Amino acid sequence: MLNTSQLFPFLISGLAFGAVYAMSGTGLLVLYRTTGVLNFAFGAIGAMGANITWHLIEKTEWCPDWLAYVACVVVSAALTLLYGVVFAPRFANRDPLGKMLGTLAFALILLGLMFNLWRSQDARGFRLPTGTRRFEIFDARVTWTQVVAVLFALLVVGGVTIFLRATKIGTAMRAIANDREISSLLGVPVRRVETAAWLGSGVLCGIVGLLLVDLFGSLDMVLMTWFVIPSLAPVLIGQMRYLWVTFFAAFVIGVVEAELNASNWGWPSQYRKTTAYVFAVGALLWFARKRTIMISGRATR
Amino acid sequence: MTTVDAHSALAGEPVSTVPSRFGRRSITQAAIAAAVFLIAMFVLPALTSTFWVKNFTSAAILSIVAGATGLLYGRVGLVSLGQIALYGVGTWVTMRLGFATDWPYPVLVLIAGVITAVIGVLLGLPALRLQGLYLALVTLMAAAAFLVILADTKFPTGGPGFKGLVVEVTNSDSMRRPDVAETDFGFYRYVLVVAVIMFGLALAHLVSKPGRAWASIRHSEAAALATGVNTTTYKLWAWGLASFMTGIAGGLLAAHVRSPSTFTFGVEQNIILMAVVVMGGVATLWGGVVAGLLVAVLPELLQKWGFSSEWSLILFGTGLFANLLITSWQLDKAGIKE
Amino acid sequence: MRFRRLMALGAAAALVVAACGGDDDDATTETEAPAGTDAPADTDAPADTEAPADTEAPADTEAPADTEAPSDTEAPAGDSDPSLQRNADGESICGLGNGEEATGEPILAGAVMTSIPGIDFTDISDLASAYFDCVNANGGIYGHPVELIVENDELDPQKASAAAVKLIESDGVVAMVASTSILDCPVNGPYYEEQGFYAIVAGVPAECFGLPNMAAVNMGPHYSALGAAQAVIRAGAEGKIVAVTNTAPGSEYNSTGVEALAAQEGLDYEAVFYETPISDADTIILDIVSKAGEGGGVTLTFTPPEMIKLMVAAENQGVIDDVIWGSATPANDSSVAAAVGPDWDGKLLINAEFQPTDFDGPDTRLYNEVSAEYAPDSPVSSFGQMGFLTGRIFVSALLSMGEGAEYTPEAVNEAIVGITKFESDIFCKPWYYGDLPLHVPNNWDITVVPDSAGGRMVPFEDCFEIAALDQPLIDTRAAEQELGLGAFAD
Repeated sequence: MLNTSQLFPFLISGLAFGAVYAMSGTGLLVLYRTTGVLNFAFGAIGAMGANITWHLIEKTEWCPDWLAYVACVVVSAALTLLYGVVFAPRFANRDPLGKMLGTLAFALILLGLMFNLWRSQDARGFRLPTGTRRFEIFDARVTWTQVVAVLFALLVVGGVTIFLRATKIGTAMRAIANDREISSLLGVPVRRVETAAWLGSGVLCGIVGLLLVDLFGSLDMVLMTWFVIPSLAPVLIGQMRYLWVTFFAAFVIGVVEAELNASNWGWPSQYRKTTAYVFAVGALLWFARKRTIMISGRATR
Repeated sequence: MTTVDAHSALAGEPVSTVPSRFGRRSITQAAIAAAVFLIAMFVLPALTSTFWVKNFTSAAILSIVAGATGLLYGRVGLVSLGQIALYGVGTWVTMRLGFATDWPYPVLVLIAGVITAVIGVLLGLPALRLQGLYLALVTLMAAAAFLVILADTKFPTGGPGFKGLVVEVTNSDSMRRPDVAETDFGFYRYVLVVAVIMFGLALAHLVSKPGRAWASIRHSEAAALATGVNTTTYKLWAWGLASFMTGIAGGLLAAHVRSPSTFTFGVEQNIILMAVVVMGGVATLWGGVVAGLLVAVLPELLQKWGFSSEWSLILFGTGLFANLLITSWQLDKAGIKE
Repeated sequence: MRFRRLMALGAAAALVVAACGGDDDDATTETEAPAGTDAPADTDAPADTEAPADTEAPADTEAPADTEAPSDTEAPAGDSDPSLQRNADGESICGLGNGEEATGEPILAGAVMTSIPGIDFTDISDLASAYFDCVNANGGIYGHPVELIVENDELDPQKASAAAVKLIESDGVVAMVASTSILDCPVNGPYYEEQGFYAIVAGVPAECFGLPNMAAVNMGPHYSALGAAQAVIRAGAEGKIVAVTNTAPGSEYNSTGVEALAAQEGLDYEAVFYETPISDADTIILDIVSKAGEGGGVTLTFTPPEMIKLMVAAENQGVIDDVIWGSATPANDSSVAAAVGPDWDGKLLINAEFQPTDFDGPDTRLYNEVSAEYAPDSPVSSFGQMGFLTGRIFVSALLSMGEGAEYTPEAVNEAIVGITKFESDIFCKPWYYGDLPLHVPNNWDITVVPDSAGGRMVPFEDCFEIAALDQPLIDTRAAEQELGLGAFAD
C-alpha cells in the first residue's frame, strides 16, 4: 500500500517537477497577459534555442559554454520576436482561439525544422553548471538547477506582477492585451510596447528552454514542444489570469503526480500523468458551474 | 461595421447559411457529389495500386473524423481539440466487442459509434458553459488524459478480461473484416459507402432543424436563446453527432489496420487534425474530404518525392498558417473583429 | 471565399492525381467487383458547391525492373569463394572488391522501417544502403548494382502493410533486407510467407523471432533484456529483479525473458512500464530503486534519449550504487556513454548483441570504413553494425548464386534461406538462416559498460550464451546442435 518511507523523497522530487510546470506555466501566462496570445509554440521555440546551444557546445570547438547558453536565449528571443512582430499583428482582429492557432502552426513548423536539422534518436543533452552540483535535504537529493527553476519561476511571477501593475509600460501591455485597437486610439505606442512584450517573453522562453534540458535530463524536442499541453493545466487553474494561483497550482500538481508514483497502489500510478489534466478540467468546470466563462476578444485583466 | 457574421466571413459564405432543400443548386451539388463518389468507387481503384488504395482508405476514414470536427467548429462554433481520443475510443470498443462476440461487423461499428456518442455527450455536458479558447483547451486536456489511459490499456489483442490483452504476444489476434469486404479493395469501397452515409447524415442535420439551430447558435448564442432555441439540447446534439461519426470512423480503422497501435493516437495528432481541418475548410463537408486526403496521402507523396516524413509537419504548419493569414485578412477587409 | 475553397479542392485533386499518376501499373491488382455492396443512398451534396475534386488519373505505367544478368562480368579478386567477401590477405572486402563501378541492371531489395520522432531505426537501413554503395563501387554482384528501397511505416499498421505490398508488388524487390520495424514482422510476416520471401531483419517484436521466414541479425529486446539480467545476476544482484521498459504496444514481451530468469534463479520479480517521453525521470528512478530494493537488480529497456534521462536522474539522486543496473542493447550507443558522467563508468551492464565497434577484426574494420565513407552522418553504433550485417549477408547470398544467375525472387530467397554459416567477427558465433520453424540465430552476446572519459562503451564480459528459458530458444539450440549451426558449426 502506501510506502511512507518513500513519501518524503517523492515529495521533494514532486516539488522539483512542480518547478518545471511552474516555469512553463507562468511563462505561458506572462505572455498571454502581456500580448493577449497564448503561445503554443513556447516549448518549440525553447527547444530550437536549446538545439542551437547543443550544437555550439558539441559541434564547435571555439564556442565557450556560457556563450552557447546565451545563444539559446538570443535565438528564442529572435524567433518569438519574429512571430510577434511579423505575424501576430495580422491576427489582432481574431479571438484568442484564432491567435493561439497561429502559434500552433508556428510550433508545427519549428518542430518539423528541428527534426530535419538534428537527429532525434540520439541521446543528446547538456548539463548546466548548476546541474552537476547537488545537495541533500533530509535524505532527499536536489540539484541546484531545480532550485534555480523554483527561484526563477518565483522571480518571474513576482517581478511580472509588479511590472504589470506598477510600471507605465506594464500598464500599456495590459491595455494592448485587452484591446489593441482602442489602446492605439488612446495613444499607447502599440508597436513599441508589443515588441517589448514579445521580446521579454522570448527571453523567458529561452531561459526556460535551457533549464528544461537540464531538468528533463536530455534534449528531447518532442517532449519540450508538447510539454505546453500539461503546462497549461496550472494556467487554466489560474483562470488564465492569476499568476500566483498558477504558480502554486503547478507545485500541487507536481507533488500529487510524484506521490501517485510512490504509492505502489498499482493502477493509479499508471495513470499519474492524468493528474494535470484532471485538475485543470475539474477546476474549469468548477469555475463554469454557475456562469458561462468565455474569453472574448479582450484578455482579462 | 457590417452585418456580416464573423464566422460566416471566415467560412467565406454569405449570411444566410441554410440552403433550401430542393433548389436547382442542390441538385447540381448532388450530381457532382454522386459523380465524385462513383469515380472514387470504381475508376480510382482501377488506376492505382494496393498501396495507394490503402492510403485512400485511410483518407476516407479520417475524412469522417475531420468532417465531424469541421462541422463542430464551422457550423456550431464548438472547438474540439480532442477528437482523436474519441476516435481511439471507437477503435477500442470495436475491437473489444469484435473479440468478445460473433456479432457482425456493422453491428460492432454501430455500437462503437453509439458508445462514443454517449461519451461525447457526457463530456459535452459540463463543457456547455465553456467557449472559444477555454473549450479548445479543455477538450485538449480531456483528450490528453484519455490518451494516457489508452497508452496503458492499449488495444485488445484477443485476450480475456476488460483490457482483452493476450499474455503471449505471438498468440495475439487481429481484427476481422466484414465478409463482403475482406480484400483491401473491397474494404476501400466499404469504407467509401460508410463515409458517404456519414456525410449524408451530417448533411441531413444541416439542412433541417438542428442545422438552423446550430447556425443561430454559432452566430450568437445569446440571440439564439432569446429566440427560443434550446441551445443546450442542440449543442449536445452536435457533440453527439460528431462523436458518433468519429466513433464509426474508429470502428472502420479497427478493421482497416486490423492491429491498431497506440502510437497512431498521440496528443499531437489532435493538433495535426485541427490543422488539416482548418486547411481543408470548415465551411463545407468537402473540407473534411480534403483534410482526410491531406493527412493520409500527403506524407506518402512526400516520401515518394524523397522528403523525410518531418516535412509533412512543416507543410501542415505552413498550410494552417497561410489559412489563418488569409482569413484574418478577409476579416480585416470586412471590418470585423471577433 | 470561393478562391480559397477552390485552392483547397485543387490541392486535394492534386494529391489524388499525384498519388495515382506515376505509379507502376500493378500486375497483381485486385479488380474484382465489390461483392454485395449495397447501392449507396442519395449522395446529397453539402450546402455549397465547388468544382469537384478531379479524380481522373493519367495511366502512367513503368515496366518492372529487368533482372537479366549483363553479358560482361568481373572475376573476383583471389581464388577464394567470392561469397565470403574476403581478399587474399583475409581482409574483408565489399562484394567482389575489384574497385569497378557496377552498371548493370540493379538488383532491388526492400526494407520496411519505423521512423517517427523518438523511434527511428533508419541508421540500420542507412548502413545497409551504404554497404550496397560500397559493393556497387566494387563490381556489384557480377556487374549488377544492389539497391535498397526503404519505406517508412511511421508506426502505422496500415502503412506497414501497404509498404510491404508496394515493395514486393509495385517495386518488384527480390528480397526483404534490413527491415527494422515494430510492426513489420507481426503485420507482414504472413504476407512474406505467402510471397515466398525470407526476410533478413533487425528484429524488435516477438514475431521476428517466431516465424519461419524471418531471421534477425540481432537479439531483440526480449532476449537482450534477458542477457542483461544474466549479467546483473552474475554481478551479484540479490533478492529481486525489476524489469523496466516503456508502454509501447508489445512491450510486455521485453520483460518476460527477465521474468523467466528470475523464476529460475529464485529471485522476486516485478515488471514496470513508463510512458515515454519521460518527463519526470527523478521520480521514476526513485520508484525503480525502491521497487528493486537495496542490492536488487534492474534491467532497463529504453531508447538512448530516454536512457540518459534515467541515468542522469540516477546520478542526481545518488542511487547508482544502490542496485545493480543492466540494460538491453539500445543503450549500447556511444552517444549514451558521452552524455553521462563518470559515476556510471562500469556500472551499467549493457547487453551488446555484437562485438564492440572498435574490435580488432576484418569485418569490424570494414564496417568502420564503410560507415565513414558511405554513411558519414550515421554514428558508429550497434544499429550501424546491424545494417552492415544485413547488407553483407544479403550480398553473400547473392554472390553464392554464382555468375550469370537469374536474380528472381524465388532464386534469391532460396539462396538466402540456404545460408548455414555466415561468419563475422562482429558476431559471437556464426549466423545462419536455414529452413526452420523459427529463427534466433544470434543467441550469444557480450556485456559492455560505459566509459565516459572515452565517450564509448567498452567490453566487460566476453561472449556468453543467452539462457534458453523459453521454447523458441530451447528449440533453436536443439536444432543448432542437430544441424551444426551457430555455436555448433564447425
